[in-house]
Amino acid sequence: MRSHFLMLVLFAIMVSTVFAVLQKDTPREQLRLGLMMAGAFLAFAYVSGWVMLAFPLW
Amino acid sequence: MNQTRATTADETRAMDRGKLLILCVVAWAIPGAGHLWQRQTLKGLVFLAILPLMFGLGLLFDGTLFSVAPTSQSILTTGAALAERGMGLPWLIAALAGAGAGEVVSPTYEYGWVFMVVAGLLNCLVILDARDLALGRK
Repeated sequence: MRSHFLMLVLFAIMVSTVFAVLQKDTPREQLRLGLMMAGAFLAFAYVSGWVMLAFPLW
Repeated sequence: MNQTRATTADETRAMDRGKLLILCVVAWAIPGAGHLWQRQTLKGLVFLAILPLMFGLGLLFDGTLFSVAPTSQSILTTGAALAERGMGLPWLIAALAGAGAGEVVSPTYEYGWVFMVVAGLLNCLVILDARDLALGRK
């Protein structure tokens, strides 16, 4: 697998799941926190990816 | 009489401490086992499924098992090596099997070791959570 985005998605899902299960006790709360956290991971990575486009390596 | 009571209380505390230590060692060796031991089945199974999977994916992505050699490498690399050891048995099995040589030129190398290091660190958090559960703090 060489898709950077897919790896990012995998990482976000797994880390969010562990944090959500650690932090919350009911499945409903865990699902809610897990989805929010995974969404935040992905959104931040996507936005920062575009921002970095403005600062190329030189 | 009071002395007898104090001794009994000390013994009980010492026994609890011993049990707690065993719990932490088991939780370190098998991710999620500390929660399963305390009948937190769902949590335990989630940790048991995800953490070894994450570590295994890291190996699959050409990640490396860092060695602990603080005198000949950067302190960050030593930190990463210690973090990987937080994974317990999966780390031990991978090390004994000679896996995790690390393909530095692989496009997924960086992802690989990050998956492995983060899995180890998450397992440390899981161990602390199991300990807090056992102490009645949660």
